[in-house]
This record gives sequence, C-alpha cells and structure tokens, in this order.
Amino acid sequence: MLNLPASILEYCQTLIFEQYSPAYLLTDKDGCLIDAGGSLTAYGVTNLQQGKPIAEQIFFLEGLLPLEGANLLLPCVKIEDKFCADIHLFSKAEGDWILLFNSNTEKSQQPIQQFVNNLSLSRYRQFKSLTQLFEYLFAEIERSLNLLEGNAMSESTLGELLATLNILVLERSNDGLFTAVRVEPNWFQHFFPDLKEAYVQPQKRFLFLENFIVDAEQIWQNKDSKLLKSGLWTETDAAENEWQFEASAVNVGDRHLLLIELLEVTYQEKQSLIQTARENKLSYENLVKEVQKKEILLHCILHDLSGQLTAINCCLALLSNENLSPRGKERLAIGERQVIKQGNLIREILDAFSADIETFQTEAFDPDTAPDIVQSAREVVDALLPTFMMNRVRLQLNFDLTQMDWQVVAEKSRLERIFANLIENALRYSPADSTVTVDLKTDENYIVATVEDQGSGVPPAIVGNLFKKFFQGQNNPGKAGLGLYFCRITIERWGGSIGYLPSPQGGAQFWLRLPKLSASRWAALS
Amino acid sequence: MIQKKICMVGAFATGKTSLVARFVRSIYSDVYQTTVGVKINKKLVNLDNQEVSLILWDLHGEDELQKVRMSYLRGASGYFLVVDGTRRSTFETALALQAKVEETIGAVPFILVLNKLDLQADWELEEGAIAQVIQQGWTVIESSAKTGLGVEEAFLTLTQKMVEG
Repeated sequence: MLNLPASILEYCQTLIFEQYSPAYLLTDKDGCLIDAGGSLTAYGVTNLQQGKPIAEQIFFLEGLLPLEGANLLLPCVKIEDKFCADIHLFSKAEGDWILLFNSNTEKSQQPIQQFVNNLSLSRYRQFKSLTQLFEYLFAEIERSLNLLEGNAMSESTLGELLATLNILVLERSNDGLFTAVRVEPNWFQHFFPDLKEAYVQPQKRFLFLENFIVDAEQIWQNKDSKLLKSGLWTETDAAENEWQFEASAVNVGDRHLLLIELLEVTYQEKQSLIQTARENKLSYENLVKEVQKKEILLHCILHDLSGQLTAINCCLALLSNENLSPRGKERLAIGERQVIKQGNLIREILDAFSADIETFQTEAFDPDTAPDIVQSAREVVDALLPTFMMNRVRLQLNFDLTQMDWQVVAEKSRLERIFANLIENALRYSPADSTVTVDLKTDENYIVATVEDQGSGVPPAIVGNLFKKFFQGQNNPGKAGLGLYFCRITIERWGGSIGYLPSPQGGAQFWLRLPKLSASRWAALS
Repeated sequence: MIQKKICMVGAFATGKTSLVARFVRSIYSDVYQTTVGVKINKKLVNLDNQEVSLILWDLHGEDELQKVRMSYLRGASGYFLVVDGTRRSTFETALALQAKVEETIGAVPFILVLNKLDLQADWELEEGAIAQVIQQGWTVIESSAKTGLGVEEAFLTLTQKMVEG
C-alpha cells in the first residue's frame, strides 16, 4: 500500500518489533486499565485485568498515573534487574497511554561503562602503587647514598644494590662527562659492549638522553632537590629487540646523578593498561558510529514512508471527489483509516527513537554516478505536480538551458529526497493560487538551487533552529522535524551548504549550494 | 652530513609508528600496538645527491591517558601532524597540537599527514576543513602506512623543507 516493495515493509516491521518489543497500555483518567497489547511479557507484565488500577498490577507505574500535565519519557528504566525499558507516557482524549520499548541503549552501553569504570579504578590503584614503589625505591637509594657518605656501606655494595634494581647510576663530573658506579646492571653490556674509557656518554647511544640532559643540567646546576624524570622511551638493540627505559636526574649532596632504569614489568603493565583503554575507546567509537548509522537509516526509512503516505492521502482525497459507488466509498473510508493509523504509527516510532544523533557516515561518493542536478530536480517536480495541482499551487522549475555542466558532488537518491523535502515544505506553507519556484544557477565551482514560495515566510525567532534535528516548524504540522536536519547533514557531507533567506516577496526561500563535479577533486581523482 | 630531528605528533592510533616502520623498515602490521613514551629511529636519505640523516622521534599519541611532553620536541627541525582520516576527532587533535608545538619550538616546517588512505571509503574528514588549512599555507599529504602510498613522499617533502630551511 505504501508504494514500497513488500519485502522492505516487512523488513522494517520485523526490525522494529524484534529490536524494540513495543507494548502498550491504555488507562482511564482514574488510572484503571482499559486496554493492553504488544509484547507485554517482554517486560514481565502478565495477567492484567481490565477495570483495575494499573499501579496495583504493574508496580513500576506506581505514582505515575493518571498523567497530569506534559507527556513523560523515562529512558532506560531497569525493572528488577531483568528488563530495561524506555517508558513513554502521554495523554489523549481516550485516556493515558503507556508505551514500553526495549531499551537497547542500556544493553550496549552498560558493559562499556562498567569496563571504563573498572579501568579508571584500576588505573588509580596502579598509579597509587607505582607511586608508592617509586617513593620506596628512591628513599632506599637516598638512604644508601647517605650511608655511603658516612662510610657505613661500601660503594660496591651500593652498586650491587642498584644493579639488582636494574638501575644504572652515572655521576656527572664537572667536565660534563659521566662515570658509572662500579657494578653495572646486566643490560649495560648489551648497549655499551666495547666501552674502554672510564667515562660514559650515554646520550651517544641513547639519543633520547640528548634531549633529557638539557633539562637535567638545570636541576644539577641549580642543585635542585627535586627529582626530574624523563618519561619512558624505547631503545632497539642490534637484534631488533625493544627495551624500555626511564631516566631520572637527581642531586645527592654535591653529586649530580643520572639514573637510568630498565623498565620491565612496570612498562608491560602500563603499556597493557593503556593499550586496553585505547582499544576499548576505539571499539566504543565504532559502536557509537554503528548505532548512529542504524538510527539514521531508520529515520530515513520512516521519512520516506511518511512522504509516500502524504501522496496516498492526496490520491484518496482526489478519489473522494469522484462519483464512487456506495461500495467504493466504503473501501475509500477503509483506506483513509489505514492511512491515519499508519501516520500515527510513524509518529510514535519517531517519538520513541528521538535519541541524540550527532553525525552519520555516508557511503563513499562515486564520481561515476554523480547526478545531474537539473535532472534530479525535474524528476521530483514531475512527481509532485499532481499534489500541487490538487492544492491549487503552481510549481515551476527554472534553469539556464544554455548551460551544460550540471553534475554535482552528490548521490542521486539522496539529492532527490532533499529536493522533495524542500518542495513539500514549500507546498505546506503556500496559500492557494500561489507559486513555488525551483531555480538552478551555476557558477565556476558550485551550483546553487533555491526553492521559493509565496507563503508567510519563516518567523525570525525560529530561523536559527530550522536545520536542527527534531525541530518542528510553526503550528507543529505533524512532521518529525528531521527533514531539514537530514538535508543539512547530507549536503555538508558532500562539501556543500544549505540555508534560509526570507524571500524579497515575503515568502520563504531555501537555498542549497553543491560543488560541481568538474570543479571538485573527485573529478581529478577519477 | 646533515642531521635533522623529526617528531611524529598526533592523536593515538593515527598510525605514527606504522608510518615510521613503513619508511624505515618497509614493513607494516595490522595489529594496533599503542606506543608508550618515545621510540627513536634513524634513516639515511639521499636528497639531490646530499645525504641527510633523519632522527625520527615517534611520540606517543595524545589523549587523556597520555599528554605529549613538549620538551620532547626540543631541537626538532620539523614534525609531522598525523591524522587518522577515519576519525574526525584526530584532525581536531592535530590542530590543537600544532598550536602547542609552534608555541614551544617556533615555526619549523611541518606536514599534515592524512593517514589511512586505504580506508578512504570510511573517511570522515571534511573537504572544507582541509581546504582551509591548505589555504593557510599548510602542506597536506595523504598517505597509507599499509600500502606505502604517500609515505616516502611525505618524509622526502619534509626533509626538503628542513634542508631549505
């Protein structure tokens, strides 16, 4: 009935019902149950009795009914750790409606949130224990050096201690060279195998230290009591094995020391932690993108359904003017009722899915199938002409016939949907016997299309919100508030822009600007 | 022989380490291994019959877990701002890092590398934003560490800029 293949309709229906398990309840103004249906068992709701207060039968609705004032949306309501639902409550003449939708958001985000929280806690604990460990180690080193100064411990014993800790201690002499404490850690030979001189120039082998020693000099010259750490760096040995180090500069008495520590477990733990956190973040970003893509897809499907429904409505209205037999009128009435039901269903689904959507990804642009904007506009104009005629509004398309270069960076079906959105909007606000004009102009790099009506124009107060999502125009004409939002994000993806200007004649004028294929880099690439 | 220090700067998982691995050792791995700290590599290049030794500082990615220490950039003759074309946020990180780097070491040659060209179907970068930085005089090179496309060109272009001073 919707001029869409039955398979698509069937798929959409299955998608919605399988993923969101909708259920409904209708109560009277005293909060007693009138009607119920849908996937109630998915929310643990069974054995309902009509006429009885709903709060006595479904505990989580206690206190919510009867609904007073504005509609209510309770997202991600977790019921006894078993079900998670988005609960919508709204009031109509027949009573208060309660809609339940399975909350997939909670399912997908909760484990991630849990993981991130665990990670933060683990990071904090890790940081705390590392700090304690470092404090302990350096206190020990300092104590040992103090003992050494007092001849209480031999220098070789201290050297052994530090070597065991995988720390190379170099002392900087006044000539800027370094000498090692006698016992070097095992890794030292690996990087300085042929050292013959008494002094070491670690920065020659570890280029990273060239940089760090500049900062370390300041600590040593100023006899600063602070410890300066270099941060981690990685060295590769001759066998392509990677070793991780961290250096520290410190003054002990009059001695200027450079400590180079081989990080083994410490590095591995830190690397693993950061690796996990970043992988998790990348997965989360991908998940968000996927969710957004699905939501946009759903919105677009519903938007298309809505457009077709309007056309069917017009046809039915035209049919009603014909001389129909009583049986024909009866069938026409059935058709009209179905259209109203379908429209309500679309609006309810849109309400349920009005989650925040920042961006979406389009498939890659294919320059070989770049559309001719004149052809796209003409197809939309031709399709909408009957509707315009029925509303006694003229629709005309103007463009310069001498121009040949009308190919733009866009995708044909979406470009046509954009034109349909703008032209249908113009019709909605056009008085009878007025004209809607679609005008196409080209310059060196861009093509500008305008859709102008002779209605009352857009009030200045709402102009700034026109292209935001879920924004509904004046007098709430029953649309989802996605049309212009869709136009904006799609056109921006193609490198174009869209906007609104009041028409000099008093109506509304929407314009869009798209790069010409011939002027884009896509042409060069193709 | 001329010696020049180059820093690889950018958000995490943009492919800095992979670009260096591709350029220095002609290898690539699909496994993401996050860099903690700094890795330094050397590569000798021949530019107009002149040998230039490049010291490549591969800095860890910038995010809330690790902030890049600007002191690592001391003495750098040039740097790469690496962006993952499939993640728009990495472009914004690159812009912020460029301002920080320039504040720290002054105006030295740099190149904005739009990496992961092999995944161009998933790119999120806006043509307008790229055009804007090109208009500001930035050099932008698209690359793929995976296929090698644009990698050599990026390093040689930066070397040329550094040598010309």
